[in-house]
Amino acid sequence: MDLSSRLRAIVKGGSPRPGPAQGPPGGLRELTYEPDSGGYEGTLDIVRAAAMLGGRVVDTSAGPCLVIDRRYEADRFHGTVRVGDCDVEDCTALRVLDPSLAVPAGGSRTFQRTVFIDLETTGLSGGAGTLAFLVGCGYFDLGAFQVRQFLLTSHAAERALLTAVAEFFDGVDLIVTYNGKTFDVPVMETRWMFHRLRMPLGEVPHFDMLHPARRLWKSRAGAGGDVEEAGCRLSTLEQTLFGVTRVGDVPGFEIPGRFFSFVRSGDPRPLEPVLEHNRLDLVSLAAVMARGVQLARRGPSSCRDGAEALALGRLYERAGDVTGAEGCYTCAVGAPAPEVRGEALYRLGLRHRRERRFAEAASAWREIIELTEPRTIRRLVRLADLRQFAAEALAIHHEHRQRDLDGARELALFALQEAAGARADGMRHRLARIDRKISEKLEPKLPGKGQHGSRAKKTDAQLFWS
Amino acid sequence: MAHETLPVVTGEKDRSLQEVLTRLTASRGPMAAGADPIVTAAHRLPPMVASFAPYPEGTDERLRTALAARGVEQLYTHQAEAFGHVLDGRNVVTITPTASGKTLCYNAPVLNAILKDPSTRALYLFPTKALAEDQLAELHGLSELVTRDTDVEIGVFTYDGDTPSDARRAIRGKAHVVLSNPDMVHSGILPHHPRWAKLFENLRFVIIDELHAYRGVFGSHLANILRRLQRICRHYGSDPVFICSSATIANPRELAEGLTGRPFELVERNGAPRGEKFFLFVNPPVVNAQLGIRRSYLAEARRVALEFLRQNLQLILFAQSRLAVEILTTYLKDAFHGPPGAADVIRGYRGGYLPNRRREIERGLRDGLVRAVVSTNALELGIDIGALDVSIMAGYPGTIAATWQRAGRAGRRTTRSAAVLVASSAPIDQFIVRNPSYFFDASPEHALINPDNLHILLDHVKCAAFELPFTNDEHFGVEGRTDEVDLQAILAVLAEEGFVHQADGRWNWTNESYPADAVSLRSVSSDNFIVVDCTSGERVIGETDFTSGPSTLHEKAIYILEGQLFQVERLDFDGRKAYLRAVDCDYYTDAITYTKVTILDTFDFTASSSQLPASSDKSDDERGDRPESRAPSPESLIANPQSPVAGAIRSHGEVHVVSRVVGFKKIKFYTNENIGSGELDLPEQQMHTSSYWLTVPAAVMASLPYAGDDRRDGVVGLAFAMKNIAQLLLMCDGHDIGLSVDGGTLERSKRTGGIGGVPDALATDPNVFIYDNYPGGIGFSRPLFEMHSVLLARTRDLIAGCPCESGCPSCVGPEGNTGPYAKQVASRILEQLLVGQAS
Repeated sequence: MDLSSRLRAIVKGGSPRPGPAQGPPGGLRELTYEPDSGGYEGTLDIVRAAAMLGGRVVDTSAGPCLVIDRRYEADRFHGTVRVGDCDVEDCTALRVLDPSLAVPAGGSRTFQRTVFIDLETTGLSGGAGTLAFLVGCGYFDLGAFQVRQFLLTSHAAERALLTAVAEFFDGVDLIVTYNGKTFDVPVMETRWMFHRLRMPLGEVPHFDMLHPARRLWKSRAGAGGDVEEAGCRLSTLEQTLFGVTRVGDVPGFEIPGRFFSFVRSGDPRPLEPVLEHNRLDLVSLAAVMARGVQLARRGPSSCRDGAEALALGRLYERAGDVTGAEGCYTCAVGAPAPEVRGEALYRLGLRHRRERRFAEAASAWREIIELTEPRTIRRLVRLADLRQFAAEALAIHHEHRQRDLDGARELALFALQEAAGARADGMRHRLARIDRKISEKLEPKLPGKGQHGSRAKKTDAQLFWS
Repeated sequence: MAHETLPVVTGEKDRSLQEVLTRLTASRGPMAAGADPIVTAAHRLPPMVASFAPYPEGTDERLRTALAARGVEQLYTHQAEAFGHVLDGRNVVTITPTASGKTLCYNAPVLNAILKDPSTRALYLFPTKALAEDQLAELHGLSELVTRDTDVEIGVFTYDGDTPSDARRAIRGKAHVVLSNPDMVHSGILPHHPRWAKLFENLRFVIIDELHAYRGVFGSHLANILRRLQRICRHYGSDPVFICSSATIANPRELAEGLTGRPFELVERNGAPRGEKFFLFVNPPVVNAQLGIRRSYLAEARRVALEFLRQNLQLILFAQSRLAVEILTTYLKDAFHGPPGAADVIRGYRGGYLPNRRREIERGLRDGLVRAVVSTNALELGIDIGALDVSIMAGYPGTIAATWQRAGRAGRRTTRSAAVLVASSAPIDQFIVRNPSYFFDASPEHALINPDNLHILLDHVKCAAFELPFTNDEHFGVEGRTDEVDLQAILAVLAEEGFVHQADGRWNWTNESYPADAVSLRSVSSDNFIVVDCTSGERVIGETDFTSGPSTLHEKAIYILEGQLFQVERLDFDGRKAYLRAVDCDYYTDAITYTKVTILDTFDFTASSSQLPASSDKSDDERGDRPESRAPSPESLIANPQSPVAGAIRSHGEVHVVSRVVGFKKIKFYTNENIGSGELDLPEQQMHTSSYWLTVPAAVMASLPYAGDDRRDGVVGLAFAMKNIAQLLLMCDGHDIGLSVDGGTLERSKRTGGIGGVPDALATDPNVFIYDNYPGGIGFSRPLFEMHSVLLARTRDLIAGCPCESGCPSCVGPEGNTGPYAKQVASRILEQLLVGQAS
């Protein structure tokens, strides 16, 4: 065998390691490149590609770069939402969604120039060999949503693309992404560093909508599947929130292959759906952020249901708005789903207790205990947990505040039924103490025992405030 | 069995040590002719005094002051020499026995350079994360001392898989010295080099500690990683000096040069002092002369260990396999019960234990709470476990270098220490204990690497292409080296498969994968099996690499973890999980593996004539220049390299190996009785690799006055002995080479006959394959081909010199395994094959 045939055998064999053939993890990430598709003559011609994709060629100090502009007018609808209504720059509401967001320079209440960013890359792992071949940028212009996309036309043209993008970013004071803190921005940093250039967005405040979206809508599933993950994909949210259904959308795993095929053949046509996919992602990102801001601004009255109100309450609480949070929880208590009610009551009870409104807290615990069981196992576990917590909290309440030892005893017994492990030991301990107190009440108290009781009380107090 | 408790530590260790040694050597018995001594060698290594040298010219005053504050007023000669070479910009490799102050050989020049120019950066590579962690503390202390009265701040950080992601960014910016390992450089640093621009722009030193660890597969990978590293350095305009330290091996300079592609200076005169050390060879007594059965070496190791333990001496006991570690741990724990409630004083230690458990054991050893640790080679390298008194090896570690390394775990600079090697009945062990001078006088092993193994090379070319596009005229590694594989041809093939695309004079990466993820540097697969205990709830208790998974985690296998027994209930092969339940039983299991070799391509062969092909003449001639032919290495026995071996055909080439675990044996603890077996149906594992093979001509076979089965037994026995001698000649680990006899295997021939076999293999010329146990080969087959005559001669000596009657584990394998006539037939075959040699 000559060298090339031996190499070919090894490369084609895939893994050079022994063992059964292994499919790609997840079963969908296969090599998507197909040898030249035919039908397109010649190599890359940037002017021709620009014409075919409806873009234009701009000149930079590092060479020409292909740019595609599209405009979504204010009155156009994205599903059920009007494009013009998605334009928000209020930093107060954004900071409810992300308390770590830096305020705009000069202490103004709004950001002056917000850019939504979404990349299409040649891979998901990052690293020096992963390119951002399409940098999609969106911004509001007189109520309309303007999208500018920078397309890489060859590996050699990357410096020109970075130069063009850097020029565009000049003056931007807020960037918005979806998972950009983990993915898009590090990838961009790497590209600029690769070319030993300064990253233009280094100091600009960055709002990553993925995290607030997870907090708000994680429990809202796209039907079936992995609820936690799938439920918060941008493509799922645009559907559940705005009823957007994409037709002929290019699946994410196909995207790198389409770029590689373009680089090989010079035929830009496979990229057309990728450009569209990227634009829709940008519009959805703007719409999802606007929805988050609307909730943050208007409070529980704008929530669609109890689950959303509960989630919003937790965002308020995290951002330090206790009153807002309480309003949301109170609203969520009215929800029909017992797991939502249980969670809302729990949060509400904790708030009350922290504010020493013990009677209200106790009534929240009581309500939790009386909740009926929901259907699914996963929620059942959480609810049982809550119920046990509530029983214990209520037992403490009865023992120490109400001085109702019999009631406390009943509650402790109830909690013990549902407890396991260390928690059960704690409950047994409590039960024993309550029993002793009851018997002490019946018999005259012996001197020296009080000390023991006060020590136990102290432990409870610690527990109480924990 | 009597349970004992450990006596109180008194501190008079030297005397206790002497007492035990005297008692052990007393069992040497009369040295009458024909007696089979138990202690076959008692070697004293005298203490050595220190030799010092002044600091080299150009040493920063701050460094000198800091070292003086630590009590280092002068350098040992080897430290000064290494330092001097680095100051002059030369790459240096230092041979350093344990506790010789090797870290200063690299820490001094690195800190010196940082003091002079704070932009200086250094990258330290250790073979394991644990070693890097260990060095971090040391380097931290020294760098703080150095900068105490200055405004310089020296950042020293480990960067490995355990580094939290939020700390990584800070480390990339602040670290002057990055302590890492090849795996992390391979998958975490090089592919992200733009983020490490500051490091690569200013990289002045690359330190490779424990150089000897980079042999075979791991070394071949590292060589390619260093090619990638130097390529990235060139991109950023830096050109680092390499500082390497190695345990004693035969070819440290050649290895360093092979790994880096650079010329090296060698520093081998050690100036550090050393305490007196005693080295004993123990051969377990023969308990059945007829069958050549010796007392179990594990039991013997236990006996020796208990002698030392009763005298308060702290010891490390090395075993050859994870299984042996667990068995010995069980034995010692059975013998010693600590006071109730006390922490365990006897601990096991091996790969597959979770990191926390390992750290706890290391700490226990340093604190003295752990009195004995039973370990695989996991503790062979320089992890800090303090100064132990005794190192016992249950079984020959396989190489001279590893034996000295393990012996070095006991004893530091001034204390007296002991090392004991307890031989197993394996032929190589028996050879070593019966010929102590082979060990004490011979040069240690050569570390062989094969960076141009196509599988490994291809993987790293992909990684390199991902990191930085190759140009149309680029080479990978040193240009014009022998064996250089045409990079452009590799890239052309990768282009055909869509991995790269050539445009504008460059090969651009056009694949969405992250190629480093698909490469594992240490085992044949990056896969592993998770070991789950489901006795009560599910709990992960360990992991096992992919290749050894089938043989240790098959259904009904007994898995032992620190003396506790588990039985595998279910092996989820595709999910890579084994579910176990704690059991109480008195046996362990040993897997039976079936291996089949098919010849793909013969690179070279010698027919049974007196003429050798021209190509072998050339390679034999070349051997004359190579350092390993120096006496008394066995290769010197190739007196006349052109002497043909009449009647035999030697060959080497490329082969296809299929192996499968087909069954298992149940072996009773202590007695080692075989108390049952079972069949298994597990997926095959396959590879292409290189192999040497011996073909016994049918005429030779036909001339033997034995029945067909007995002849076959003879070939199997011959193969068994040959593999062991091959291991000795190649100076490699037992698992580096595999053995197969034509269509069958040793195990299969008797126990599980009929499984996919070739029923009448001996109708044709039988072949004995000794193959490189790694896809693509790691370079053993050609040397073995060249050493063919000495291989046969040594094998004959081994079999002829063995006192057993008809085969034993020390020569052709136990009679029960290889048949009643195996020894006789093997000898007859060898005689015939060696006829030509005698004339």
